[in-house]
Amino acid sequence: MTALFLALALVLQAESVETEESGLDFGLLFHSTASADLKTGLATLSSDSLTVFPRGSFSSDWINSSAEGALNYSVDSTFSSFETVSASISIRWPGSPWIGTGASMGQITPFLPGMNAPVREWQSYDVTDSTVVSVEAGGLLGFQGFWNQFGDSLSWYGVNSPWLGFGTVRWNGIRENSSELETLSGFLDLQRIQPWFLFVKEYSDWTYLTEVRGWQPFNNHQYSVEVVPSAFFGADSTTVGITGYLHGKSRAVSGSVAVLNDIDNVSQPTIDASLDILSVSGIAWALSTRLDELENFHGELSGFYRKSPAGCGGALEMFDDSLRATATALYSPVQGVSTEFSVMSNIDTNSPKPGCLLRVIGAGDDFTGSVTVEWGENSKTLRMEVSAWID
Amino acid sequence: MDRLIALSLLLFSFSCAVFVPAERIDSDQMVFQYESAAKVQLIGDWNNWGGLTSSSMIVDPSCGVMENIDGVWVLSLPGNLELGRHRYAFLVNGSQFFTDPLNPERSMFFDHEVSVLLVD
Repeated sequence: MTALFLALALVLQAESVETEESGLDFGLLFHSTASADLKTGLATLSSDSLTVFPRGSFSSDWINSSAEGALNYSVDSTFSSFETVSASISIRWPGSPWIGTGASMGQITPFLPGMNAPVREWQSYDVTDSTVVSVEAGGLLGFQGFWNQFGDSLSWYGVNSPWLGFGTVRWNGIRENSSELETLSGFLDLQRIQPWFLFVKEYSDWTYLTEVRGWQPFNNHQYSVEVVPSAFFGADSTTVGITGYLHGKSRAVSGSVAVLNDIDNVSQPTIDASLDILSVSGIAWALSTRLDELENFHGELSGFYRKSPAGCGGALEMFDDSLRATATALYSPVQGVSTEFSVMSNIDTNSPKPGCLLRVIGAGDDFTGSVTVEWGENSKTLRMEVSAWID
Repeated sequence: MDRLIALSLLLFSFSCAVFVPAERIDSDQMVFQYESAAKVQLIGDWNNWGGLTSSSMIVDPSCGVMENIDGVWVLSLPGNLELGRHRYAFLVNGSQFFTDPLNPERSMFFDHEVSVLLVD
């Protein structure tokens, strides 16, 4: 609680912090949380922490540098510490956006974009040595290459092509100890259709994903329908699919229907469908369903009135045999302030046990703060959270 | 009979207001209607999800803040997005993820369903 008030006091003094305009910037990101179990009283704070991230950066025509630290303060353990979170310096050839080198620590994590899902998500790798030496070079016919070396255990490298007139291609790789992962992705523009492709090589196994975009059998001034065939060729399986996308051109609607089928198991397709409508009356409808191999079902239907400072709505969510309902009301008395009240419960049992949430949010361009009270059958908790950026 | 016709017309009018799509806001920016929200941020792969992918794992409250114009939140996309696919979501009140209701392309970001933008 103390930390939270300290954070609030610092936020209120934000205007006294000056900003330099000579390429040197300095700012502070504050984040503070406090929570308590209300059944035993406010004195039983389960956590109370304040973290301050001081950030500084300098940039000129040929050099960029930044540094960020973290000051942690916790009432529970009377623990406070300061650590360097990240630091970087990069030097770029003046006038060239392509040629540069640099070194950093704790600033980037490897990420390999994919097609429907990333090949490697952010923070998939547990980077034990966050010290990174980076090299960037390019300019030759517009190609750009980079190499990031994390300590001596992990490398992330790649080459991106510019727009080649008929398509673009990107090669990426991550090497960690003895494992190696490489991807080749991109798309071709063949006027009416655009084949997108992704090759993934992991160890000695290849997988290949492709989909053909751009085929629109229906297209008028209000709506268009795009039909997208796709295929996945893996070492052990081959999946083919077809997806229809509904795009509203002058109407606030979108939707999709996808059928995916493993060719070794044709009788059990996976079916995915979604529909979003913002209606004339201002209700935002959302429907999404998924049936995995004709066995596991997940469906969600929600409707929320969003066209006024006082909004309300509800959602029904179904997982196989269980059914959960949520009712929510929001009210924004003035810009930047919102109150939310939600009740949620499983409704497929004889004795539903609802849980409730009441939250007050205050927000501006540089800060967000909230006070939340949650209560259910056996618990009652209070949470407070403040995040602010001061420059 | 007259009552039946009147009731049918009433039900038809009601369903039109409730289910028929409204006119889409003509904009080359990202738009999201949510008048009762205190704040909406546009976060995605291009801005490290507001900080969620960085070592602090805390959303920077100044990242991707959308402008509120009569309950419609708007923001221009960065002009230097690379060709390819980029995931994004609308973060309402600093904690709730929403997909883009005007874009049917979906993916996942950890446990959250998010939207996908194709830059071609």
